Amino acid sequence: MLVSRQKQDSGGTRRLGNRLAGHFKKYHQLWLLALPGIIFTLMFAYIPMSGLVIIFKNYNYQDGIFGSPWVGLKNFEFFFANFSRAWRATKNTIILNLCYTVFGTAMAVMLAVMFNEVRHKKYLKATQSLSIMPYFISWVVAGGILRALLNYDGGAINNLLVSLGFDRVDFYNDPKYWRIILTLCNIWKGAGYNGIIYFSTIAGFDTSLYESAEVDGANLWQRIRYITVPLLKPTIIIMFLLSIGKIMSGDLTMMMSITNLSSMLLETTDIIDTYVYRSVIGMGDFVMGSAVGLYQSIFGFALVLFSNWLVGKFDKEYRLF
Amino acid sequence: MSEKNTKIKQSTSDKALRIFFYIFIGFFAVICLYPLLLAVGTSFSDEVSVTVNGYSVIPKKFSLEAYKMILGSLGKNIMNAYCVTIAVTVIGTLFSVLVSSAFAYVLTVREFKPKGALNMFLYIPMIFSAGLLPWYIMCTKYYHLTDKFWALILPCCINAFNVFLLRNFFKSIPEELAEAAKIDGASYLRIFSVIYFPLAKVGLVTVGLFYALSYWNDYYLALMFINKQKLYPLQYYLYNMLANVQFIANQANASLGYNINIPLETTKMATICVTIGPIILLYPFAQKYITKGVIVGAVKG
Repeated sequence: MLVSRQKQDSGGTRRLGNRLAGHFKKYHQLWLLALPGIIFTLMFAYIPMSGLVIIFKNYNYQDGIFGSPWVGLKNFEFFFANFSRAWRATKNTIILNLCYTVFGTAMAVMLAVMFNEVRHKKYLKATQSLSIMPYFISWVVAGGILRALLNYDGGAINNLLVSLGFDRVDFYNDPKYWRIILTLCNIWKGAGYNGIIYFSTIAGFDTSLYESAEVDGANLWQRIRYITVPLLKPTIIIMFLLSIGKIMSGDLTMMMSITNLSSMLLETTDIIDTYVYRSVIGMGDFVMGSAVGLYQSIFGFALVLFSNWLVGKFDKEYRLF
Repeated sequence: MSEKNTKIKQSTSDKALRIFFYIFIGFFAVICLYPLLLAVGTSFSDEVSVTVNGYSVIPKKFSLEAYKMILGSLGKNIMNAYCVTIAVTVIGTLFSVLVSSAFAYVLTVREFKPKGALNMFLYIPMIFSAGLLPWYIMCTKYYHLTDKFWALILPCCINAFNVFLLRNFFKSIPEELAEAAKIDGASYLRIFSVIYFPLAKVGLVTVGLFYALSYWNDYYLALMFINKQKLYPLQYYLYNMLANVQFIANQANASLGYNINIPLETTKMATICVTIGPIILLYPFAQKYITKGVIVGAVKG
């Protein structure tokens, strides 16, 4: 069929032109409807991609991305000579994302399984409503409240520690706590919401499985262990594999709101996004900023392809493309 | 009947496990709520008692000082930030829903061949982006978005996830309706505006809420493009307040003209409460739709 169509097309540009004219005559309204979406996606997603050529240029604001002089691979030399500066950011991004995914998913699945066993409708509704509330709260607000919890003087957690007879902890000056704190923040904000997603998956499972297990004398723990968890496994694995594709990307606004990019905490909290932001907008260092940004994009893209391939190995249905 | 049976058969170990589940969920729910209560409690506290006794859910010494501050010397600036946020949220949401639903409708027209390509076109930026720097340069140098109101809307006005969500909602509308209308000579524009748009009300509200939430909570765009304080949205105003002690002092002094003692901590918390107030008020309504959206989106994203 493809071949025959090609033959038709090779009839000449006039016939192609006619066909295009016919297409637009019939569908011009559809193109019109899609046009705003196309324009904005082009403007803010595709055209910036062309800006990646900045990596081969000696950028200055006056001449812009396209007017600045070419410098070939010189920026890469600088980048590799200074790679140790970027390495910490890369390491932090990957470690934090792994923490978010592993502990976040564990918590969400646990919540979903437990939601599923609640027999009192009102209790279920109340707890679910409260659990997804943090999802609606901005990171700025979350960061502000976190200060009220962790402040050295008067922070709720430090007050609790003192009343239990422990010493105060200076959270905001000690980077070693922050991987845990950030992971907990992430769980606080997202686990309830993701729990509802898993919960709705569980609600779709075949109830007859549970009924027959009950008839056979399986207790609640066994029903969870041998029915719910195995049935959830594919979803969990797929979610996990897909998150591999996002392991290089970080959330700038979250980090800024929570740590305020405090130089005391950068050891564990400086991620690629904050590194780029700090070097470009803070220090005007376009070379490192753009090089790190580029390798984040390229590795991210490779990882998406890789995770998609893995998902395909696992179950073709769930492939992204 | 079966329910009765299970109740009788429920062994003590099952019961114990279930009680544990109830407690665990309850505990998690309380943890989700507690920080918000802490903010509310502190905002109604006396500043001195906060410095001495620390933050607490129940004010040790009740005071409206912080709210007087917000309504008084900070009032003009906060009101301005509020108006910017409301304008961005309302205009942005309407705009985004229109653009997204029009695009989503095109993706559902069966006989329209290029829709596969359009699908891909929208999908690729979800997995590959140029990153912060080229995007930032493009927006500031070439689109001249610095200190423009539209800078707070346009760069994020179309979200692929929301478009695909809407497409799923549109797909649940029986195609026969559109077919019948087409036979009667209705144009695509008409089919969209008369059939799809009104019938997918739940989907539009859901997606609208997603957009509204992201506009309301956004400060990324302001951080990138806004220098003029007249265009600070609420979240960015709050961000500056929290990140920079001097900011709040300057704000108060500028409008009063002399030095005063500012109830710093309680004012921060009060601003937080004012910022999340509308979300909490709309929450019972919004939650229903968002959960539905989550489920529709999860079925096939």
